[in-house]
Amino acid sequence: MAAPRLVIVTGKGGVGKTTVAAGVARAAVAARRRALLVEIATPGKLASVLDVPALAAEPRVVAEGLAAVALDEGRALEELVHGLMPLRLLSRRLLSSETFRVVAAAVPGILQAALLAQVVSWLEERDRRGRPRYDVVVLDSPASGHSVPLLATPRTLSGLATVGPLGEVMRRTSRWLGDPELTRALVVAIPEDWAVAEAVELYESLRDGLAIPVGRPLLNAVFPRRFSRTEEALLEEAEAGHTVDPELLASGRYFVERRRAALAHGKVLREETRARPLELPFLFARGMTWDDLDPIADAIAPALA
Amino acid sequence: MDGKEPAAAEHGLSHLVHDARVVVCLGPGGVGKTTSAAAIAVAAALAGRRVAVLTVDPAARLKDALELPRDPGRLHRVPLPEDAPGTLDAILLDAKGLFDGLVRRLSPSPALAERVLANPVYRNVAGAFAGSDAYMALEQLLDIVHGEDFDLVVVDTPPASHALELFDAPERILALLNSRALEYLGEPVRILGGASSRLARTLLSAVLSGLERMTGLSLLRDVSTLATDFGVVSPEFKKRAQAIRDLLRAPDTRYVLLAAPDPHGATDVLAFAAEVDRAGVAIDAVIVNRVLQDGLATRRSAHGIDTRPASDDGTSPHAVRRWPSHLARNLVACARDLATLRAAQQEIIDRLRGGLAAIDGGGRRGAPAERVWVLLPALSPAPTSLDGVVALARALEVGRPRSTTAA
Repeated sequence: MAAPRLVIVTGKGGVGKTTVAAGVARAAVAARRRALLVEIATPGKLASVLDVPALAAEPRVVAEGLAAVALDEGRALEELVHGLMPLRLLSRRLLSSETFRVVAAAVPGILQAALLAQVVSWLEERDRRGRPRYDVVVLDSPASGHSVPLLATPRTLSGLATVGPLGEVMRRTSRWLGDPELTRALVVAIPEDWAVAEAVELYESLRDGLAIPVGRPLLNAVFPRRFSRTEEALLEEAEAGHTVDPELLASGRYFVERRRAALAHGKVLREETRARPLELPFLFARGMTWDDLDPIADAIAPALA
Repeated sequence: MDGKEPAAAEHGLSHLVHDARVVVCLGPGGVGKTTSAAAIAVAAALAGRRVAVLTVDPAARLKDALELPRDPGRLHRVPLPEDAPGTLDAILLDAKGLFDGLVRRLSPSPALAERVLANPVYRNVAGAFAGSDAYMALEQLLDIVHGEDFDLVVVDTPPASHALELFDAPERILALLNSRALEYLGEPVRILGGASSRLARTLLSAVLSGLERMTGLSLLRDVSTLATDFGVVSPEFKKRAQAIRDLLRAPDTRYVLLAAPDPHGATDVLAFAAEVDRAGVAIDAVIVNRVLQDGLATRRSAHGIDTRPASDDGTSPHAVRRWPSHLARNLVACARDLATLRAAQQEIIDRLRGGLAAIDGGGRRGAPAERVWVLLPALSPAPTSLDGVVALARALEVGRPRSTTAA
């Protein structure tokens, strides 16, 4: 399978979606692919992860091979309306009306449609030589509660919007979202009950409910394995203070415990999704920048192949 | 303001548990709001109060621990230990059912209510009115506070990236109901304000009917019917929105901010806290979850670790010598990683303390000295039984990690 052109990173809040999305972009850039990182959910977070100034509503190059953008609902709606209306003057007038926004918001899924239409327009953008401007577009999508309705929009609307420009936009979006050669959704969890339960539910509703191609589930923030079974037993039996520094022993045992928790949660994830989860390493360091994302990028590469 | 907050962890959340009438748990997703809300409620019930907890999105195990029923939207008695002097009722938020229920209750006639509920645009307009599940949580809170006889109601808030979704919800609904938006919706051509020229009207009608054609909805008719119908109900909604606004700012409504010491979490939490402050309420307590517990990788570990065994009891270091040398090396690597993590967490906690102290001002009390900080250890597993929730409850109440309080 070819490397996907659209990667959608999703999962419950607090599982490190933004870091994972940045890791996906890092992996793409390392493979000499031009990447666009798109932030939808929490303004400022992506800029903090990348350690760059605040993102704009237009894609901007933030590192070699990497552009980033903060997708804005109002702006996306504007673009959509401009695209749908023959007269720029009228569309501007209409958009400046608060009431129109209320009416527009009453159209089921129109905001989501506008967001997706923006993403598709970036996917289809070409450079001067006629090649795609971005080889891969990575979506740091909102927390699961919001991302399923977002990704379901083409389906919800396709039944309704069969004619006209909006219908055309949704059909194009559907083609992207449904094509396993083009799109991959990545569901992120961490080794905690709530995160794994949510990831399983999300994985199923994307794969079975929306027929969106889903990659291997990602188990983020996994402690490294430092000890063999025998060594683990040794650590368990050792008496603190007697044979080894108590603090060292406690640290070792803590790793063993965290490792075991990760294994147990990985097992649940595997059994419930019937897909082999990919472990992403826990990052211990404090400040992180674009260049520090290599461990995540390396670990994530198999999910993008 | 010196940018520092006193570390007042000794008394934990006991004052909230004993005195507050409403406790709202706030914070970005994935920081433990639901579990903490449950624990605070249990602590208060164990202290003899009649408590209700409104929970939004509990993990399956917490649901089991509280023996929550499957049907959301109804209060349900939680079986506490026999000797508990208070009571605890739990309710799972049913946003969808709640709004429908409100429309039914506030409508002057059942026929009108059914017409509103059957309107295809209703759900989306309802969404625009309500803002989010956050507003529904507040409607539910109001129902419980006004309709039932409890000493304390603890609220777990829906995942939101903005605190404003919560605090602005009543304002937004009030503004909308007070504006002429509903009238305009009834006659969409008026959207264009002074544009009364025939050309403008013709163009606008063309655009709106174009929108209809694109969506396949009879948008104009549905919207205007809904506007007319909802207009009848709106005075009641106005009253409720005002009541919610007052409740959120009542002196015995207290706020607990949940945070996790993750690298980029502090940005989220501080942005959240700033919005809370702008909304004019003060954060009474901060719970930092997933903090590396004591006894691991202290400063000594960070500054070079002695891999030899402690010799204060006179034993020789034979035992560790019998261990493979890479095992000792790996132990040191573990301690180093944890020391790095601890330093990173400390930095984030300091940033949170400094950031919160700097934000304080517009808040109702705005007195950081009163604010309580509770740090919960990283390896405390999510409570899987009522005992687990009780243990967490006691830890929160006294402000010490569970490991020292839970037997």
